[in-house]
Amino acid sequence: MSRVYRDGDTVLRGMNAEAFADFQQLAATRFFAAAVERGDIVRTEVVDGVELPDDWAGVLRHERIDVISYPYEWPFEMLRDAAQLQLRLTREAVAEKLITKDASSYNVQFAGTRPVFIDIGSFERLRKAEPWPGYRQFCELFLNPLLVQAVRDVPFQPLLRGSVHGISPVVTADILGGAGRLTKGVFTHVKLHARAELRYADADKERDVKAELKRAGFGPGLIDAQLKNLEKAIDGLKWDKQRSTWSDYSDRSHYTDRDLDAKDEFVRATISGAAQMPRLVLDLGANDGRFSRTALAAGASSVVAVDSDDLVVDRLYRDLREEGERRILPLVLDLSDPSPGLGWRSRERLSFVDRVRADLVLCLAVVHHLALTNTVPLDEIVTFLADLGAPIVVEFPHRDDPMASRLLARKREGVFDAYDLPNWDKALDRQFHVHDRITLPSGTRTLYRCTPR
Amino acid sequence: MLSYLDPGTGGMIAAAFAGGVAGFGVLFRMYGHRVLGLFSKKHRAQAEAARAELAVEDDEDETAPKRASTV
Repeated sequence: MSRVYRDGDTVLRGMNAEAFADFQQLAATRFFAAAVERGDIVRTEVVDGVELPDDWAGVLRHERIDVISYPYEWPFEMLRDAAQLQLRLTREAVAEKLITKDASSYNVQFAGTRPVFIDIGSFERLRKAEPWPGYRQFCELFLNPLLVQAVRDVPFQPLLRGSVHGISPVVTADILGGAGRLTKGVFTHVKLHARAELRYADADKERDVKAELKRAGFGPGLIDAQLKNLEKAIDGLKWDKQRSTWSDYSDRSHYTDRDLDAKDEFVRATISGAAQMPRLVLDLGANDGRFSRTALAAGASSVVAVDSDDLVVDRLYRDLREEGERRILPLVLDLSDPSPGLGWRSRERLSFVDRVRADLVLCLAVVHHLALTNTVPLDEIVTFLADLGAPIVVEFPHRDDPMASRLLARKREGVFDAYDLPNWDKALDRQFHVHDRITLPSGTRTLYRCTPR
Repeated sequence: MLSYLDPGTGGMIAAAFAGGVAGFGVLFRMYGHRVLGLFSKKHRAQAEAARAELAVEDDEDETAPKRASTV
């Protein structure tokens, strides 16, 4: 067994004797060195003389991943890329007599748009006649979420957030129903898997069949064939929405170019004029990533770009991947309902606000959506921004702004009377020092640069 | 943080199906053993011996830690 310790920027892993022996075997393989070199596996070294709270036979140090993200914050294509990485590494391991003992999508992280496998402790020696122990978990946390979205257009993010264990074969079979009969992988990995599980739920019966299967020659060749089959299933998945072109999807048609240019300039000036260059920028409501790119161009090291629409984030991810831009991490996040703490003691997976600590927050074209669509009071919006604990650039659309008035037109008279510039200024001033404010050329929006009090 | 994984029989059967020719071979041999076991005393004895041997291996495995830590 092994356990991970994080202390500031250092990530250490303590391993007991058996796990450490597994690691030494892993370190001696050809695929491991090559995968680390490619960036597929997190950079890892053995360290000596480190004090850890528990006693371990060996200690490893891992390269730190800037921002930890979870599968329920990824769009379809990110989960697919993570799944392909998990399968590729497992196949390479099997070829050198190792195996991954689990297959959790939480074991993959994204360094920007690049998936990286971080669970070194997952590799162990392949035992005789053992099946792939990670198979069920692979289905629950990779294949099934992708299937429900590809086949039934059911977004997987709320399901994965609902249970850190993922979507079981039985539940997936129920969600898919008769659909997906012709989709590769559904029959074997979902329907048959679900039925066989129900059938062998009885432990004694299970033991017999398992022994019979082992005797009949269950081995590495079969595991490789199984992995290849899963690879084909994952490669073949298509999410229809992904293919359609949403050329006018970016919510920018109402902007004048002059407004956009002024916002770009304001972001640029904020970053290049900062006393200390912000390393990590958090872009809320990032859409097509325009201001994330502006932040990078102005000198920021990396950006987390969040948006609540998973299709928009999916498209941003694919664009960035194609461009080879690896400094932007696109994530699906609904600001009115950000990721909470989940899993064991509700601390196994940290909440978004506890996990992502940026040096600068961009909150452009967001406040009116939160205030008018999600009906969050202005002072609550400011409190949320203050929770993020960083300087912010925030935009407030006035009541007469075309977008804001379109949202207001649908509301009952009087309910949103508090939505105006003086009230916003008052709320902002209570928790932030405002250093700079400009009105955009259109005259209907105000930009602020401020720091928390 | 902690995950405990014990590969289930259902998973092994699905794996054999997914394994194409190799999987077919395994399933074929497994059912072959079963059918032969119906008619041959000798075969049943072999099966028992093999099962006992695998059970011992399994028990050994169980002393090994199966807890995997993930970040």
